[in-house]
Amino acid sequence: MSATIPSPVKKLTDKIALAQLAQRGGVTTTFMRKLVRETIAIIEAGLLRDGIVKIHHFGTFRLETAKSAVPQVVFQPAKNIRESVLRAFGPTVHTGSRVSLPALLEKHLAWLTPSGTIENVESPAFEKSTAAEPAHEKFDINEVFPNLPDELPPRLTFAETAAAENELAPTPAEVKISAAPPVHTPPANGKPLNGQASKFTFAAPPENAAPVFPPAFFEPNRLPPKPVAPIRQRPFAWYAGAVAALMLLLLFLLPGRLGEKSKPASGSVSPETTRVVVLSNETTKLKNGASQLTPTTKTSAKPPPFFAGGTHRVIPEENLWKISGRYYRNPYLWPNIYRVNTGAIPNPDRLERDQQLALPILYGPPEQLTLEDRHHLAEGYFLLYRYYRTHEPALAPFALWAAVRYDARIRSEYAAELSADDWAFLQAHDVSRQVAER
Amino acid sequence: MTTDEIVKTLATRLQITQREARLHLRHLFDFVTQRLQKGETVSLPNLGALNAAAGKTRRTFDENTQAFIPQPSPLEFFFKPYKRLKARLQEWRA
Repeated sequence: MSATIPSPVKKLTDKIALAQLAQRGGVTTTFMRKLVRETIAIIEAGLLRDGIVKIHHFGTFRLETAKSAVPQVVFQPAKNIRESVLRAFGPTVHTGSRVSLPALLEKHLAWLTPSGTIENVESPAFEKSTAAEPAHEKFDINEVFPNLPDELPPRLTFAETAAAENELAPTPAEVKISAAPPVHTPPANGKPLNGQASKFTFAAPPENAAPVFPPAFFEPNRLPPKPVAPIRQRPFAWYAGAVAALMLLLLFLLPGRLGEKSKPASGSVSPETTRVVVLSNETTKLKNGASQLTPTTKTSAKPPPFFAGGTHRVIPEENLWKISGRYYRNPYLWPNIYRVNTGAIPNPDRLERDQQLALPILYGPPEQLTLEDRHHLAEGYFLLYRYYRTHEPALAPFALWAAVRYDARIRSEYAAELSADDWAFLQAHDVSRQVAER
Repeated sequence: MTTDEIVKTLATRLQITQREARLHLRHLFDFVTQRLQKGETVSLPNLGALNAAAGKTRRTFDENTQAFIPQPSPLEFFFKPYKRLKARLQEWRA
């Protein structure tokens, strides 16, 4: 038996939403449709251009690229929006319990579709709960208790129950009359319990009487079966195709990986790699029939750079630290950007609005920088050292120390510019020497 | 990108004044805010879905009673970008 549940989902089509908006703004629905479409297109373009879209009194859409390789869009609501929504269905201050409004329980879905192609869709969660009934055996109580009356007796009030009990309660005289003579059934050892016989006995039930508890009641699995979660029908062919494609890909990639492993390293050669190289040389010798070994060299393609370079337009409240974190996924690499834009940036701690910055290439990822990247960073930090030497002398040694830490060759390249104090600072804070001493 | 820039671009594209564009923009986002207040999910076409829901539950440790006290889960705003925006972001990242 499937109960008909009234649908709690209210319908708010895009037409109604646009009509309400148009009525509020005093314009036509067509114009409002165009306005919504243009607004969303502008927001999307702003996200792709600047990575951030600030809407006054509404919130901020922001691109986050520092945590993962895939950029993610995060919405940070404005203070007034957060407070108003919190007032609507947030937790109460005193009890901490959540206020449940009907609108929160009945999940609505408001569409703002300017094209008009998307029709109103009811809540997917509600559709799922109503459409997919659990496929389990229904528990029929009449099978377990066949002698149950069809209708339950009417519920009595307290006064009626008390009156009925008084009427039905037997008097002591009735007890004496109706009580059967005591029949003592001795136990197995022949001695009565506690030295006394049982006072009462029960008359045997009639033969044709239906048992109160049928045998089905005493069966171990008399309880209704637990509802089994419905198995979601998944497209098997899709999964099978994906698994097969993955297996084929692995089969094709495995020889290539082995070939890469067989290439000897520049520093130390492991026994396994040596063996593979010798075998390959012998094979070449047999094929050619010549006595001279022909070494097999494989040309490996240079991996693509981590960041291919580009340009960036500065937006308000932005600095080199943020830009580096956005593009390089490591804000500490910002002197690399400063190195390229030294002429355009008079003060590296402050950028001007709408300023076009060139973003240099980064070959390796931030955690595995290449030697070239490290040298570029060292140069950037040395340029920073030059700037701080004239503007903020207290910070200059630290910039120099960072430059040397990224690439020690910077000391010999710019040795003429370093003063005796700088050399003393570097000697006192020599990281490599401190590590060696430990 | 800020609201001023959106208003200017909108006024240029729709050939209306900036004041009108700002007013319509205000109405649009007020409408979205009202829907969020009712616990609804607002779908911005080609961009994503925006909704407000309860975040992760927290609990604090009370040193007096040596017990954990459950705290009400905070309200959080979620924005789920659609496939089109994701594809655009992937292209932009590449």
